[in-house]
Amino acid sequence: MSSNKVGVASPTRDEATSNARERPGVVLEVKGLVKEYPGTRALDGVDIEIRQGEIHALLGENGAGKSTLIRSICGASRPTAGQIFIDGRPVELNSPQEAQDLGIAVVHQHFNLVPQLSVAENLFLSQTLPRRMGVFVNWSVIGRRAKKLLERVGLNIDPWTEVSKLRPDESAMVAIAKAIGSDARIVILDEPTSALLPAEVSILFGHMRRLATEGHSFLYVSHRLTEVFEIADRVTVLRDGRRAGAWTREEMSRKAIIKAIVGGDKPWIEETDVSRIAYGESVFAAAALAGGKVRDLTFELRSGEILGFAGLPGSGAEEALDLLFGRSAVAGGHLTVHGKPLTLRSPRDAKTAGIALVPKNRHTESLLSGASVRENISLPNLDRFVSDPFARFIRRGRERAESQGVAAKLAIKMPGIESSIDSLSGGNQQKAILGRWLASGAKIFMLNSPTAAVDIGAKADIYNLIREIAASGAAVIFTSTEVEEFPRVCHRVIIFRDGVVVGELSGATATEANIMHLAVGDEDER
Amino acid sequence: MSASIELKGSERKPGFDLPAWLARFGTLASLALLLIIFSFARSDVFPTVDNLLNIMNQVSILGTMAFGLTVCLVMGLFDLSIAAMATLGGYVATFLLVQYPDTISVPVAVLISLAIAAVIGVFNGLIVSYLGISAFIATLATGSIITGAMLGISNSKTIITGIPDEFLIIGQGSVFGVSNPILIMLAIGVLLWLVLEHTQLGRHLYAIGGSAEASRLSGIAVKRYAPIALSICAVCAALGGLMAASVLGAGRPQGVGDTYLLNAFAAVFIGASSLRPGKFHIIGTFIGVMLIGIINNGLSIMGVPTYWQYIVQGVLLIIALFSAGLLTMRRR
Amino acid sequence: MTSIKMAGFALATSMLALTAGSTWAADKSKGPLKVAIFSVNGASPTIHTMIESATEAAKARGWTVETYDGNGDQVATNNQANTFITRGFDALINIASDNNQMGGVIANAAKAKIPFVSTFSGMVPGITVDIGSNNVADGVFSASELAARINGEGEVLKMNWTVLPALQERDAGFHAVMNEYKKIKVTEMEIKVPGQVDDSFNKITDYLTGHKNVKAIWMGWDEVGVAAARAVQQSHLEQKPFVVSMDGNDAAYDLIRDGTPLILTIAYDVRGMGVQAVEAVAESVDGKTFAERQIFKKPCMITKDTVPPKGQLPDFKTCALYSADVGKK
Repeated sequence: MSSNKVGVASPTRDEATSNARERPGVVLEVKGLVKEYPGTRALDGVDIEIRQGEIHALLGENGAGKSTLIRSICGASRPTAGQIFIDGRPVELNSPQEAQDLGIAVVHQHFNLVPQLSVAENLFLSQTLPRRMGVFVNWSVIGRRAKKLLERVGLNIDPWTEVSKLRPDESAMVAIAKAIGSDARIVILDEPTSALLPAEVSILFGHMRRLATEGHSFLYVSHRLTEVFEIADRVTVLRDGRRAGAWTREEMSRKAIIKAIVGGDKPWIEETDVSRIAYGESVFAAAALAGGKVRDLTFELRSGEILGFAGLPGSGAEEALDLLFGRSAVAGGHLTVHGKPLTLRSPRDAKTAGIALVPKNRHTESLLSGASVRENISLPNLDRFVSDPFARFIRRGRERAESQGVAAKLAIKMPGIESSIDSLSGGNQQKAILGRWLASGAKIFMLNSPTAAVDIGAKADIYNLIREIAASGAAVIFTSTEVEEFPRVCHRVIIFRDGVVVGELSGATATEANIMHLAVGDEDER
Repeated sequence: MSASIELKGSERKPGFDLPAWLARFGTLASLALLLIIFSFARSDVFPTVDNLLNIMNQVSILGTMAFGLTVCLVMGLFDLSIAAMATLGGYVATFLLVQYPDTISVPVAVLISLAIAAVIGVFNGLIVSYLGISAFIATLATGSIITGAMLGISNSKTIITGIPDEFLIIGQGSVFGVSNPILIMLAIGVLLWLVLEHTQLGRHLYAIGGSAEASRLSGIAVKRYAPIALSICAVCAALGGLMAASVLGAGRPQGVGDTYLLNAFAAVFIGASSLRPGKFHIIGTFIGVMLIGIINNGLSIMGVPTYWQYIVQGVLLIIALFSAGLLTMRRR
Repeated sequence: MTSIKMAGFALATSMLALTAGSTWAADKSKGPLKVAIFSVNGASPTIHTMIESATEAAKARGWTVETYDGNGDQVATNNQANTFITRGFDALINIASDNNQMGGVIANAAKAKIPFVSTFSGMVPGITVDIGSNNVADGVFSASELAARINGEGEVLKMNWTVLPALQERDAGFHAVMNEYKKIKVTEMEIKVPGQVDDSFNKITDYLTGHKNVKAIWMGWDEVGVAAARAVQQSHLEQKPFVVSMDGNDAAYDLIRDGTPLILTIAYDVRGMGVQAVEAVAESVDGKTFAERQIFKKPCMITKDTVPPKGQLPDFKTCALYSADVGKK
């Protein structure tokens, strides 16, 4: 076991010896950690230990306390009570810098890289750069060091490549290299795979495993159970700020972990029989629609139907939704809604035609941050609350009543209709966004990854909601980056590759494997 | 750390949360504190109805301009042309009245002046919406054009004679002892408060300011709103300059709006740290405007040297924005 | 011996050359000169007037004129002035840009052997001449008139912006007078610039609510003098104080003529200064050297009795400067 670096946060020698807990192999131990915020207790006595060379997965729903725990471990927030030991010595982490000095580094979901800078510049961004004559940055030394560091993590790329040009898995590895480059022994990975393709995930996992055998430890946060089973040596599940369970690789079971995550009382809806739902009349149809990446898109959507647009990122599946909502320019083809031709010049036209879009990125594309739940729900529906056509005063009573009704119907958990949307969990925020469009009376719902960054319990709620929307007679177009969702959600799936539709699957043939097969293409050996 | 552990004993009680309180009421508290200090220091002069009216009269131009500025900041647009716009408002009205004393009446001159401002404001907005130039730069540019145009038209000469008395009434008259500028400011304040808080226009402005993309995807014609917001702001600025011209009985071709520019921004930002931290709103702006007015008036009355007014105002701005930031910082 | 002879010869020839040179130079101002007229802040009304009158006077002589306005940027003004020198201009006329901040330009002009004439810009070594007003004396005039009108006692409010050197000098004149009147209680206030007009208006309004016995207000310059007059007009005082200031702009003349609280200003011959700057350039080009680097033009005392009719300027040649001379021509 390597000796502790003398960091700013190191305790005095006396304390160190009196409180030291010699646990061979344990590099990081958290004992009884409590973190209180006014009114809530985000962490309520959490224990976790990470051994040297271990990949330790941290699971839990949104709001279970994962991010609070990470923030405490990396020095970004001070715990209210409890202790953190590194190499058996109690430490007090007052800043991320102190944590870093003790060998703890965090790789965030978006990797904290500057896309416009080169890999080498990113790697040494936070360090003192080598100089010539004490003034000019010695770029050739940086280039050599970067190359070495990249080799250490097994990445064979030119250090002068601009980060924006890297594949997502390469970006992830650069972020990890950056952490290791700053002498981190414990690397915390916060949902590193959310932007990665399956093939890229397995490359990343390969690198992680090798680094682990070299003695690095990983704390790996994810929503994706399959990946956890693939990579983790041990798993800790948090629920409501407490440890809900911990398993070694041998003990892990899908059922037990899911039960720990969601708690006992909520049923986990695995499958729903969708074949019973009868299809209605045609509500939305496209003929040879083109625009941007998408070419020759033809489909017909019926009342009550949930149609999936599947495809790898960049295949045109997500882009088609933007096109169908007037978000990107239509270059050709025809659209009809309820049999009437529709010309889309802006999202406004789409909305007027009764089309709703729930975009992929909740925070940048759909939420009104800082506004209340009421304002978020009523946003596209204010027309209905105006008192007169000139001054257009809003009748707030009606607005509130309707928003309240929607929130109640969707069982949105919130302190109140006037509380800030930011105080809601991801799942409840997403429900509010869906509620916004339900209230608008839209008949065509287009949903892009509606369950992204939503915890498992809320995912089930949202799946149910999508089915209810369809059952009510509306039509749904669904797309997602997680292929496993298509068979679970959709009645029918059309698959995109390179901007064109390459196949259609429905019923029993719409399996994850078949969809992947079409999306990837035969010639590609992925 | 020990303090927060002690809190555990009373954990379920909604205890007094000082940072949150400061974020909401910090500026109001400092306003109250200043009122108390000044009232004790000059009890014969400061805490009188006359002086209150005097303070409000003095901030009326600033207030009118700051209310307009609030509207564009709600949408996230910085309007730097308000300084030039104020100059324009006062100069154009007096210019018309003096040049065409027989054909143009006071109301017509006022309307023309405000209409020109509105058109320039719309033009600002079109640049922002359709040329994709940031409002900060676009209004900087149009402000410069207006300044140049005013100097050119006026030949740098201030108009002082020939301004009809009916025009001077705007700034110098009063109703039941309350001077007209106060009434104008309050009327504009109430009007814009109604617009921002209770109309669809206001809700859309706030929505666009919160997230332009979310608003666009909710079917709001986002591009239409910059011209509206910037023209409201321009009209308020021109009205402010017009009041200044009327109060002083002089149509100045330069420099009218320059002080109001920074103070208007200061007032609006102080306002955004009051009651609803992080949000621009009319009542907050009014608090900010009054704060600035009371600092200047109180210090003047106490005979404190002028440089202190700058210092006190700067310190208060930092305190106000910091206390508002406390809440957001902690949320992170 | 030879060397002495040689020296004598050399001296004689050089004397000759000098005389020849100067006779030629005497006509030079009649030639088509190129002069540059610039200011750091050409938009200011007073400065604008001087630029105008200087430009007219120069054109009347058949010169080519190029003007430049630094829009408040002293560095840009200096750069432009240097460019004028390298472009071969025959003279520089600086209208009211602090000469202390133009040392480099002044040195370059000397190197290029061209005149550097300024108005209202301060006396700095190396310039040809600066035409200005004796601000200290003018401060004394206005302050003395003020003191005389309140019988040398009572409350007086003084507002000024002492950052500007010329205004600082007026301040000195004011203080020199007030030091002699122990029964006058002076309150001094510094004006915020920019925003000077509105600030003075507000400050006076505030002050008068708390100080009802102010007898007179001394303002540093007419622009704020006008604001002071309006503030007094709109105050609710029974005994309204009077206002004196200095500069002599049209607005001040109008207010004095209309019988407002602004009763007196010390007016400068602003147009005359522009014209005189051009004359100084002509004289310098023709070979004259100035014994004094700083020359002053006589101001006028403008009161209700001496104020020129609307649209006209005072006659600076014949106007009165002392109250006893008012009405006598």
